Amino acid sequence: MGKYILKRVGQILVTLLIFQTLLFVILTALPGDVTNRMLTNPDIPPEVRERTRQALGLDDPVLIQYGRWLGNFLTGNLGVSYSEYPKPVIDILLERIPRTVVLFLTASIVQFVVGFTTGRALAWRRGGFFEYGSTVVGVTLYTVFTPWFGLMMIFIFGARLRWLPLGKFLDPVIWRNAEITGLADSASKGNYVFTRMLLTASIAVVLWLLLTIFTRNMSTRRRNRARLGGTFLILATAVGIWAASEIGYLAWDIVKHMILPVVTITLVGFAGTMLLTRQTMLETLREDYIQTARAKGLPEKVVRDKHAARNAMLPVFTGLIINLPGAISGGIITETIFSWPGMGITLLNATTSEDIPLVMGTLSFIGLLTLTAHLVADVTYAFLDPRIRY
Amino acid sequence: MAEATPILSVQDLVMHYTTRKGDVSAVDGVSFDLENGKSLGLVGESGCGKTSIAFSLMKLLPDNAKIKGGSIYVGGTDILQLSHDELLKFRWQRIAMVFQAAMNALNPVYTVGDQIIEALDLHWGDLSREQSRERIGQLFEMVGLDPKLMDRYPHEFSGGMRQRAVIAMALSCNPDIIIADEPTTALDVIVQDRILRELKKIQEKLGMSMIYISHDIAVIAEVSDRIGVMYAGRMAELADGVDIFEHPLHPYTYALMRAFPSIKGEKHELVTLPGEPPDLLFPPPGCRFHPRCPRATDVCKQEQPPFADNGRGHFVACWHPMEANHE
Repeated sequence: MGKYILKRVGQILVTLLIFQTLLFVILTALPGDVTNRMLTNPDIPPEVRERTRQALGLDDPVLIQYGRWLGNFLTGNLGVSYSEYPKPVIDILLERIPRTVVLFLTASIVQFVVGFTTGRALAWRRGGFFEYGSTVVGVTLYTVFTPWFGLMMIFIFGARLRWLPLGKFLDPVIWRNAEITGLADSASKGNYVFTRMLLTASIAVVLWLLLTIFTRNMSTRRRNRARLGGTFLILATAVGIWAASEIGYLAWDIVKHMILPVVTITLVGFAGTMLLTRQTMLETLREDYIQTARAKGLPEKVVRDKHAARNAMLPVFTGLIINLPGAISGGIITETIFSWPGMGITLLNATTSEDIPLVMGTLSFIGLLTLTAHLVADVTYAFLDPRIRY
Repeated sequence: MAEATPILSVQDLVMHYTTRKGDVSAVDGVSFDLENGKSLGLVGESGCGKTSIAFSLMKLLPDNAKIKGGSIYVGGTDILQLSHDELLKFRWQRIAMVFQAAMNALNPVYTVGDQIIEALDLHWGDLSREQSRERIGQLFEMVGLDPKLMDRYPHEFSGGMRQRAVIAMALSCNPDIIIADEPTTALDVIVQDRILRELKKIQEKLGMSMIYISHDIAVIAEVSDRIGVMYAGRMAELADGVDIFEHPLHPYTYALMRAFPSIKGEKHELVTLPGEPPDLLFPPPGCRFHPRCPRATDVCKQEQPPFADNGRGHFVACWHPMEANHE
C-alpha cells in the first residue's frame, strides 16, 4: 500500500508537470500581454511600455520564461494579482480554496447520502407511489436549468420567506461589530472563524476514524452501540464547544450562508446517484450472498444495509469521486449565483479582468486538487473493497 | 418404520409462483418425513421443485411465491405458522443451508470469519469475540480448513475452500437439519467426492439430519439414507436408498437410473428420456409424467395417482408401477 501511494505520488508529479506545461503554453499563446492595456492610454509613452515589459521579464525567450515560471510555481511563488494588486496570488488562493472545497465537499456528501438513501429504498420497495414520485421529481430536477433553479431558490427562501441569506459567505452587518482580538476587517475575521471551523471538522473526522479502528474487534452488538454512541458524542462535543464559544454565532452565520447552495446542488444532482444506486442495488439483491444473509436469519434491515447496500455502494462511490473535481472547477455557475467567494468566482473574475497570474494560479490548483482527489479515491476504494489490493 | 417422531415432517406442501402469465405450480402436494440423524436425498431434473422445497423449508421464498397449503413440522412446530421474528430465530438455528452456488454465497466485502460471527452473534448472542473465534476455529478444523484462514476474504479462497467455509458456516449454530442444495455442482469431481464424504462424516458425528438436493442420483445415493425422486413438482417415489436402486417402481425413476452410467461397473446402454418436463403453468392432468411415460394408459391422463406405501416404506405415485423384482 505504501509503495503504491509513493508510485501514485510520482505519477501525480509527472501529470502535474505536463498539466502546468500545457497551461503555460495556452496562456502564453494568447495574443499580446498585460502591457497591451497601455496602448489605449495616450499618456503612456511607448518607452514606458517597453520598460515595463523588461521589468516583468516579458521580453525574454519563451523557454526562459517557462523555466522561471515553473521554478516559481515549485517554490510556491505564484506572483502578484493584477486585479487585486498588490495581493500575492497564493494568498488569494489559500483564502478561497477552503471555501470552495468545503462548500462542494459538503454538497457532494449530502447529495451522495440523499441519492444513495433514496436509491436504496427504491430498489428495496419497487413499484408504488414512492418509486414513481421520487423518480419523476429527481429526474425533473436533474434536467432543470441550474442557474434558473438557483435563482428560484434564492427568490423563494431568501427574498420571499426571508429564512436564509441571499448569498455571499457572511453577513457584513453581523461581522462588523464582532469582537475578535487583533482582527479589524470582517474578511480576516471570517478567515479566522472559518479556519477554526475547519480545524474542528478535521479533528472530528480523525476522532471518528480512530473510533472506527478501535471498535473493530468488538462483537457486532457492542460495536454498533459503541460506534453510534461515539459518533453522537463527537458531534455533540463539537457543536457544544461552538455553541458555548463567543464566536459561535459567527460560525452559525457562515453555516446559514452554506445552506442554500448546498440544498440547491443536492436537489439538482441527487437523481444521478439515486438512479445509479437503484440499478446497482437491484443487481446486488440478486446475488447469492443476499440469500445466505437471509437464511442466516438476519433481519431485513441488516440484509439491506450491511449486505446489499454495502456492495451496491462501490460503483456509486466511484461515480462520486469522478464527479468531485468537476464539482470544484464547475462550481463557477453555482458560486456566481450565490456570490460565494470561492475558486469558481475567482477564476471567472480573473479571466474577465485578464489577471493572468491569478488565472494560472487558480487553474494550477484545480489541477492539483483533481489529482489529489483521484489519489484519495484510489486509496479509499481499497478500504471499501477488499478485492482491490495494490 | 416410523417409531421415532421425525425431526422434519412435510405434509401435502403446495407452493405456487405467481407470474404475469398465471400461477406456476412448482410444488404440488409433496409429503415426506426425515428422521433424526438420517439423511434424505431429493433428485430430479431442473425445475422439478427440489430447490423450491428447500426454500419453503426455511420460508425463504421470493415475493411472488405463495405456500398455498400443507404443513412443515420441524421438531413439532409448524414453521408456516411462525411469526416473522420467530422465523428469524428459527433459521440457521434449526435449519441451515449449504447453497447451490457456494462460489457466490459469501459476501465479498467481509472476511469469512466475520460472516460466520454474524450468525453466531445473532443466535448465540452472549459469545465474546474470543469465544466466537474459538468456535470458528473448531468449525474450520472440522471441515478441513486452516483456522488461520478465518481472517481472509472469500476471493482469497479456492472453490473447494469456499465450499468448506460455507459448510462451516452452516454448522456454526448446531442446526438440527442442514439442507445441501447442489452442494458440489460447481466443483471438480475429485473435490466434489471428498467434500461429500466429509460432509457425511460430520453429519454422522454430530448426529444432524441432512437433506441433499441434486440432479445427480449417483451423487445422492452415496450419502443418503432415503431418496425421494421428484418430477414436475410432485414426489414420484420415496424409498430407502438401496431399495430405490434395486427396485425402482416409478417409470421415471427407472428412466433416470438408465440415464446415468452405473457406478458399480455393470454395463448398460445409456438411455435418454424423450421429451421435456411439462410447463408448470399448464401442468398436464392426471399423472404429470404421463406424456413421457411408456406405460401410460387412459387412467394416467385423467386421475392423479395416490402416493401410496408399497410396503417397507417404499412410496410411489404411479398407476402402473414397475414390478418390484424387475431386472
